[in-house]
Amino acid sequence: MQKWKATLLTWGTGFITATLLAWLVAAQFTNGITPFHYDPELDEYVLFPGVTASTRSEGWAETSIGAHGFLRIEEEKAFSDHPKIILWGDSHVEGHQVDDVDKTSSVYNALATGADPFCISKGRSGLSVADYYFKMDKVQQLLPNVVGHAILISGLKDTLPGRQNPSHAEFRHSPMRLVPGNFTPTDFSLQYATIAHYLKLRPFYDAGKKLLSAELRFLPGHVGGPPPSVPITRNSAAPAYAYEDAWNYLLKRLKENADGYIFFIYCPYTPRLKEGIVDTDTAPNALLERFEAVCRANGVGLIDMTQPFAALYERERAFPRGFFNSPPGVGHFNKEGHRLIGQAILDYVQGRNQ
Amino acid sequence: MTFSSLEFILFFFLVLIGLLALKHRPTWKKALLLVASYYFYAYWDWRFLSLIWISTLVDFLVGARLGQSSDPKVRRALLGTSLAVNLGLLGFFKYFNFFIDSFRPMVESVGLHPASLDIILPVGISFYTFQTLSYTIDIYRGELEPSDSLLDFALFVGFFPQLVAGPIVRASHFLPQLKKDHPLTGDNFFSGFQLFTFGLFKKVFLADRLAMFSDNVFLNAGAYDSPTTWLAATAYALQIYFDFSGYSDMAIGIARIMGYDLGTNFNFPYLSRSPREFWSRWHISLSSWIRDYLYIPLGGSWRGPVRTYVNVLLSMTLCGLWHGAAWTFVAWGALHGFALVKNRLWMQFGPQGKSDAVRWMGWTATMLLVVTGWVLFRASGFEQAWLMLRQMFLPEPGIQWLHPFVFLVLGGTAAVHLLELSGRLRSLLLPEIPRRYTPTLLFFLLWMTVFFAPESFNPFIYFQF
Repeated sequence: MQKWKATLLTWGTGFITATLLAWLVAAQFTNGITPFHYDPELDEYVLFPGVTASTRSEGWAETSIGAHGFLRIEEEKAFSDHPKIILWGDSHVEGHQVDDVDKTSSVYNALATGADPFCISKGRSGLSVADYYFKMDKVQQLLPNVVGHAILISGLKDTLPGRQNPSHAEFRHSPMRLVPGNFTPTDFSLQYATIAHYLKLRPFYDAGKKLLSAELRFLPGHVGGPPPSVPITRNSAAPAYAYEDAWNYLLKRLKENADGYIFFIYCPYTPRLKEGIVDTDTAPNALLERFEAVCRANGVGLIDMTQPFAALYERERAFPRGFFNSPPGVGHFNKEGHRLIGQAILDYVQGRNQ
Repeated sequence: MTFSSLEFILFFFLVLIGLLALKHRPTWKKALLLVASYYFYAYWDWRFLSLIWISTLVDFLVGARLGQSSDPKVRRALLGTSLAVNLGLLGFFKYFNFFIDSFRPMVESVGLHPASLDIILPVGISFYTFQTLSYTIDIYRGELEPSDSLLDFALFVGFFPQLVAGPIVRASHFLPQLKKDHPLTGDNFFSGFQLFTFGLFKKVFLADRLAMFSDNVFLNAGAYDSPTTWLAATAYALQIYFDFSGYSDMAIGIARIMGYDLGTNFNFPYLSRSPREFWSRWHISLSSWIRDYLYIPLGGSWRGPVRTYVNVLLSMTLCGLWHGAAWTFVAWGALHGFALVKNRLWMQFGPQGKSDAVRWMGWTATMLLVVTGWVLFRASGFEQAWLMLRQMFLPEPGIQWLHPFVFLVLGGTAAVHLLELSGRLRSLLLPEIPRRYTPTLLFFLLWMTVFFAPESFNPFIYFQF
């Protein structure tokens, strides 16, 4: 009995020590949990002010969150009376993969002169153009002197009906309409995410989530059975609308809500590696040309980043996406990508103001 | 199910409970293990249990008849039956489409139009057919008595820890173990758990993460620059080692927990200073099988030097073919065959130095051969292999991506190998009696495996063989 007690004590102590050591190591090398909180002025859930979002799985960076979920580095600029443009986007604008000074809006602000408006970043993972429509009003009420809106898109899909992410705003057709989303973190997340953030418990959270959501199979298997039924996706049906009608509707609604001018920044997934060949994809894009025509007709600007991205590769054999720990050309923008986009936005804004 | 799955952990836990409950009933324990083994295999596909049963029944009966007959013609016919059935199954399921597609132009030129079939490769067939063949061949040679228990023999064939990816266990090593009872003991549990944990860490934390880098570079062969391509080749060399030795460790560890010994399958192959030494350390159960059942029956080294070299080349080429139905595997085997021949020639006619410089040169040359060979092994075809090798040896400009995780693993692997060279590894990391820090170390490795397991599932590389 004594021997069993000693064994249990040794192994129990070992387990606790190992857990603490593993926690220390994992805390450095895994992504952090970033809690949300409800912001009554913006009427939405934003990243908790004061926290630092750590990214390790793609890139290696820290993002400091300020008041109302804006970047802390931009807080002062955001609430000043200086003219400003709002940079809207999803995780590509959120840019947690690069440090704050390397994000698109920071690059722009570092290069801008006193006459140029500030650029304030308002990106969050999962958002689409439909979301920006609903958020514009509140941001314009909160931040003084908004003179324009820049909308970054990685493709044209979220400018079209039926392509948005669940629990976010939607763009629907028949009839064309924009429907607000209801993104709400779970009660569990709202209650515990903050403490989990400060205690760096993300690895345990992910492990627990994997365990609880595991779908176990115990029945004998059968290789080569019938393929699983393909779920009807948002994209599977042929569109029941004309693209131009959808874009006209969307742009008109955006212009109704926006103070100042609007322009899009189109950032395609190029160049990319396809089985050993680097595809810079600089061939004419018929769909983009159609979108550009609609933008022009509605007085909305468009920056196409295809050529600058391709030129980066031609010049330096570098990609605007990809990090030391992720494949080149895949995923989110790296420092070079953010730099090119920040420069392009500044060129556009300065060109407008001349 | 794989050893790294939740289902397996629950399954194994139930098996252990069953073995404990059947404490003094060895026959019932073996029956439980047999049923568990068949369930383990059926989890993948229950239909292919029939192939294991065919192999088991045929070879058990052949073995029994071989034990009763002394007539050379009858014995040859019986052995021929075993070879025909096992190699026939292996040949059909693994190589039918390969040979049809490879020789289609030739066959069609004489007016035949063979069709490829939609054949599923049964998991583990390369392993269990070799295992049962070793049984009948050993009986034929008079080196083994036939088993008098179908239960024992069936369990030898289907024992779940080694059923799907080895080690290839010899009947002479395993059948005697089945004659004795194997109570669960604390020492065996610790030893097996220790080995299993290291194996799991090697497979999930090291191999699967290395794959995330090497897969991308191989897929885009030729696009990356020379340092990146070399790094990917090295990463794959590490990946296949950790994947396969990790699986072997888990299999051996699980068996050890239950009181069974499956031998050793890897012995630090990347310490080898010659191709010959490499094959005495890498996939030992296969290389010794090839030696005993292919190389030696071909004449071994007893029919003069030229015949010896031919035997070596043929054995290694077939070893390559065993790994997969593709010409790149054949080329890989042949490359090692040539290297072994050259090794023999060097040992006979070359300068024999024992200085550190010579030892380092030998190690470097061997690693160069091994890493280059793995490029052939991994490539999806000769075109991809050529693109990789060209960037390694005749580089053109390309994209650079030097993943730091590979360097970290390289450093850690070098440190562990140096510890092994110093003779201190086993006492420090794999002690027979746990040291004070052993529980901390093992649980730490488990946590790292849990925290850093890649999102997507990566099957064991050797499952495809």
